[in-house]
Amino acid sequence: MEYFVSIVAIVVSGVLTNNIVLNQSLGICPFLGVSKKTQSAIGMGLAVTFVITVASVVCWLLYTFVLEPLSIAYLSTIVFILVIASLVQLLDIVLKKLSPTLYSSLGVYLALITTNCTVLGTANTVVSQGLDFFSTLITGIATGLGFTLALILMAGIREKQALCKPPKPFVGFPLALIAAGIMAMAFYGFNGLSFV
Amino acid sequence: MTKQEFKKTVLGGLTNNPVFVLVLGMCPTIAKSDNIINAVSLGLCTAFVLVFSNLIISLLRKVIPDKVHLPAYIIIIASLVTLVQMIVSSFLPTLNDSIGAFIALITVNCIILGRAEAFAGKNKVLPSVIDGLSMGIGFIASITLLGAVRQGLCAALGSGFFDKTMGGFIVLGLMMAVFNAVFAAAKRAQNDKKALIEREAA
Amino acid sequence: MNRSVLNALKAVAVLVAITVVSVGILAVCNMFFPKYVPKLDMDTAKKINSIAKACDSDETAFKEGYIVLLNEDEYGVSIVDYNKNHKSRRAEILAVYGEPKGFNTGAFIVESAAGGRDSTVVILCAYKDGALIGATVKKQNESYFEKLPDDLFGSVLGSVGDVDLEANLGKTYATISLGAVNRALNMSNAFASAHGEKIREAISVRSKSELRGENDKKGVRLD
Repeated sequence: MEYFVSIVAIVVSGVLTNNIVLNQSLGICPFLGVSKKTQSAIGMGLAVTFVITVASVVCWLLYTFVLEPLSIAYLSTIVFILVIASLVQLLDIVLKKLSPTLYSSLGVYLALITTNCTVLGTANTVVSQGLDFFSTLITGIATGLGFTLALILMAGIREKQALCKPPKPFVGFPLALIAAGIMAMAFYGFNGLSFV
Repeated sequence: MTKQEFKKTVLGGLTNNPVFVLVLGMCPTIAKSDNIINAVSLGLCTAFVLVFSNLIISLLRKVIPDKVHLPAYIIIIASLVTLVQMIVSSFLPTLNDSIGAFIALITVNCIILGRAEAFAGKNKVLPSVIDGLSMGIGFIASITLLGAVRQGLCAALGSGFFDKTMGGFIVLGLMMAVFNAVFAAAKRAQNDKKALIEREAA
Repeated sequence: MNRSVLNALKAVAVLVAITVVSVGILAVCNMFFPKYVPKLDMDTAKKINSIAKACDSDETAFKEGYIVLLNEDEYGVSIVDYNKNHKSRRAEILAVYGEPKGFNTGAFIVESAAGGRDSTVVILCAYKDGALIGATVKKQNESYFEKLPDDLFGSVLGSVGDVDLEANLGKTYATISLGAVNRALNMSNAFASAHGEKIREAISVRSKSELRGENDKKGVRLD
């Protein structure tokens, strides 16, 4: 029962109270870059969720069973980023075959998932918090879902923003950042949930 | 390298500012600019990795085959970041507590990989190092400025907002707008001056 | 061999060369860079003096050796091995301090740490005669730590084994941070029960040599 509650806590914190974009401020580059249309936002979100989950699990396995026992934990940054790069390469090949539409809608941003702070950030978090396998898996999925949620919400706002005429200096990123800030304020309210 | 190009590279940190113009490396900028010390330290670490990665990649640019240039760059950058991690955790443990997690994330900082691809991979060593220094100093200046503004606002208006992520977003958005306005005005002034000179010459 | 295979081999060779050189340099650095060695500083001494009073002035406690950092050889336990064997607790012991003289002679303090929400939470737990007499948080960088009540450890003073802070404090809205404190506390309690005897002996050895030193200073001979 305790364990089940802790898993629910992980999901709630990953999506709402400790949202990777709006609370931990990671993954902001793609958050600002891809979120112009809701369709592409959903696709990007799902791709990133997949990469975060698989990367967190693989990195956790490598850390727990290879890096730490051999006392070469200092190589974790190099190993993790190589795992992530290979994973994105794999996803590239798989998506090209399985879903050409998604592949073309992601475009160059698929390769940029490698440099997405969320993936490396989550991998480092699960390792430093010393979670077990299942918690790691759930953390990856929850973090990815949180990222997707933030992305979709942002896309909706930006679609509307494209239709108005703000003052010249505010066009583009400044307005998007302020919108993101207001969204972060809204999400900050979720801290009332007792699973923080 | 021509004088024009040299000047362009040196001023790259200002005209092509990674934070305000290129909008790269947002994550550490927003996350760790909540006070000046964090901002300066993280900026220095990032600049260190940037300069040395530009140096090494430029040195090896003829040796690395094009097909595998991305994994090669990633390994070099990740190794430099690991070196910085080791130095900080051994000699500066207090710093490690506040920005330790974000030092690891320098590996995926878009600025470093971006400059490696766009500049260091195609230019000689000295220009690459200058580019690294210029961009690095530009980044440190931007993140410190943001840190100073956020810390000042916190001191003036009370903490709990500007030192959190939401405050960071809003302050950065407003500062970017200010930067855009200033830059546009400067550009307009420069164009007016040029038009005036052309008219006088005609 | 045709061109493309040669090119592929060259690419792999370059990658492997870069990796080997990088990892080599890092391995050398790892061997020579100093590992974090816990030191007793004024700040820690102040905190220890607040949970297990050694003497009225923090300055004296720190400078005159009322609170000392105990060496692993003194109590014969390897902290690194202990941490490795108890990894499932998801916490680490960092250091052991002792009070060879003063109001709480014989008390020892365990410094332990656990990964929290945004940073590592480090706590100090003081034990006397086998039970917890005080604890405090040494450092943390959590976002919601202010939500935790000021008196975190009041409910568990006098405890010996594992405790459940959340059961005692209820919903705090900083569950992950409290969890980190809990794990560090339990790790510390377990270490104290397992090796408390040896640590107390080490402290009494120090006390005796302290006493001898003082008596030598005073010119008293106690044969």
